[in-house]
Amino acid sequence: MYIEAIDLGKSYDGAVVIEHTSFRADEGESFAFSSPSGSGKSTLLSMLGLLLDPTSGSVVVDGQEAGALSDDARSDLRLRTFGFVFQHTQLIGSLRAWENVATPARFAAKLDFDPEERAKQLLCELGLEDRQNHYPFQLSIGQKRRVALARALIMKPQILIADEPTNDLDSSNAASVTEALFGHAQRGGILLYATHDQQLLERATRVMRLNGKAFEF
Amino acid sequence: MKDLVLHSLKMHKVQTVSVTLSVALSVMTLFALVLVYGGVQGGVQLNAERSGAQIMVVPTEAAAELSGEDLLFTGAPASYYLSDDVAQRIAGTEGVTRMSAQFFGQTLDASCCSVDTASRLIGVDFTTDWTIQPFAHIDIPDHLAADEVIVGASTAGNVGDAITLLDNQYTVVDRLEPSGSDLDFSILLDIDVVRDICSASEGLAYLWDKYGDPHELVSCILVDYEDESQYNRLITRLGNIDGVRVLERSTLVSEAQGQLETVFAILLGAGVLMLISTLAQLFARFYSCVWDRKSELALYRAIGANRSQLRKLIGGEVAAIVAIGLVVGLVLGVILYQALIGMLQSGTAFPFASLSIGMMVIVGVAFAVVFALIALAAIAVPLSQLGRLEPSLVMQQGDID
Repeated sequence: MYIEAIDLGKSYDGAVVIEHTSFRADEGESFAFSSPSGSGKSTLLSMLGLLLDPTSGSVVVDGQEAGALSDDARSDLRLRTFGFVFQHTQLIGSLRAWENVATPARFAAKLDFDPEERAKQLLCELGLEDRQNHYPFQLSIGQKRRVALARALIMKPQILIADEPTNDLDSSNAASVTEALFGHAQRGGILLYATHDQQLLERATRVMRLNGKAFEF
Repeated sequence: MKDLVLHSLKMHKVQTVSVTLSVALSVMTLFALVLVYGGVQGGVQLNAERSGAQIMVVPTEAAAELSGEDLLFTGAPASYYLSDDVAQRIAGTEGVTRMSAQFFGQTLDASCCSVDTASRLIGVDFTTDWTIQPFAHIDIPDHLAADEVIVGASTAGNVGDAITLLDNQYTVVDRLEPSGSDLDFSILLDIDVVRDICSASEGLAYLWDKYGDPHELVSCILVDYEDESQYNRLITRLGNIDGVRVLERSTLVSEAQGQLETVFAILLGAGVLMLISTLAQLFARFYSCVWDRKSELALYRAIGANRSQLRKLIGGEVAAIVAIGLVVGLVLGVILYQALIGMLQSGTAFPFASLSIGMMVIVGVAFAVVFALIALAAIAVPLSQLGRLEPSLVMQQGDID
């Protein structure tokens, strides 16, 4: 399994946000993307996660060029291969913690696990065994981030994408989330994340920084 | 997916209940309206097709007390009689091709007879009658035996049954097809047998003191004609006979229909307004549903849902709302239908033949199809919005309520 960005670029109405970004991440690697706020990290992660079509270049996932896939095939690839931890957690307020975690499984035609059981198991592994039935408004930001992380992991993805995963967290929660993220890479997964956090940057296998409009090593 | 649909319905409770109620009320109103209208049209059609008597002649005093519609369609008890001589005069009137007399007896009920609903005892002159045969399954002989009766479609008793009328036993020789008129609630005997029964009745003695020997009386005379061009003259000639009033079926049917059309127009207007309201509510519900839930739907897209699954999610919500609204509406529609019939029949007389269960089911299925199409029309725009929803939107959103 690998993910490769080839000369990736994105423009909005002629304004270039990102250009000429290329890299390849293999199993067990963790890539950190660092740049000032609002300079395109989220856009880059969106393109890498097949949420956004690039204006130029391409994303290749394990030999498949994403741009050549149908919308349904890309949806399936997102479901089976990618896990997302969004900056603002994006939990659904009316669902309990374990229901939020189990949500991606509801879109899978076939599963080799019980969604509720696995959701609760992941929450336990992330130290939230006593928060499984809580609603998001009853959770702290650190707990919400861990619920979001559990949701990203429920489909056993090979590529985990995290946008500012330790933003707004105290050191204890940040450490807990960091361990969980890097645990994924240690188990052979690929971790791609954007961050300003120096400690988190230091843990990455490789760091790409913005130079002009291109992310470079 | 089912869980997400149920979750979404629960999370938008007020909207869900409001739209479901709107669907139910629309279905109820329109379904009841169709059933009532169908029943009236069926009654009118049955009368037109099967009842050959276009003209009915009744005593003037009967017509003064009761409306023509009552006399013609509902068989309101009319204990007024004409001399048999009048029948002879009518028979001799130019333009009359055939005529037949009927003698109305009393209304029977369970207190005196083995009938479960109030049933009218009518003596028919089967030697001349042509109006009953179209509803019969047997060739009606010129004279029924003294212990034989024919019962209307809504009257107790099946062919071969023995029924008791005023302490006498009779055998049912035929059960008529529904007519949509008083005939359905009548028990028919030979005219002379009914005259004998009424003559022997102490309770009716005051009538015979007033009108004379019942064997020389008739209650109404059914008249038929052939020459359409002479119709108006025939009506005039019949109207000139002393002591009678001429009821014209075509006029009464159109008057009854005219009265009902006002009611139908009001109900139809209400039904159409409710339908438009339902359409608007469904549209608003699902348009705002897609618009307000962009973050949630974009999240689903980001975590792996394809467009088809989102469409199923929205479609599932519509289907659930419309299905529940339909079922509730159809049940309430049947209740409203019965209430409307009761109200209409108490206010005006008209021929009525209720739709069969099979036909009601067909109408119900037709409603299901129509409302499914309405629901599809209502969500067409929201569904197309879904197609344009970018999953990357999720990266720009905050928490989802």
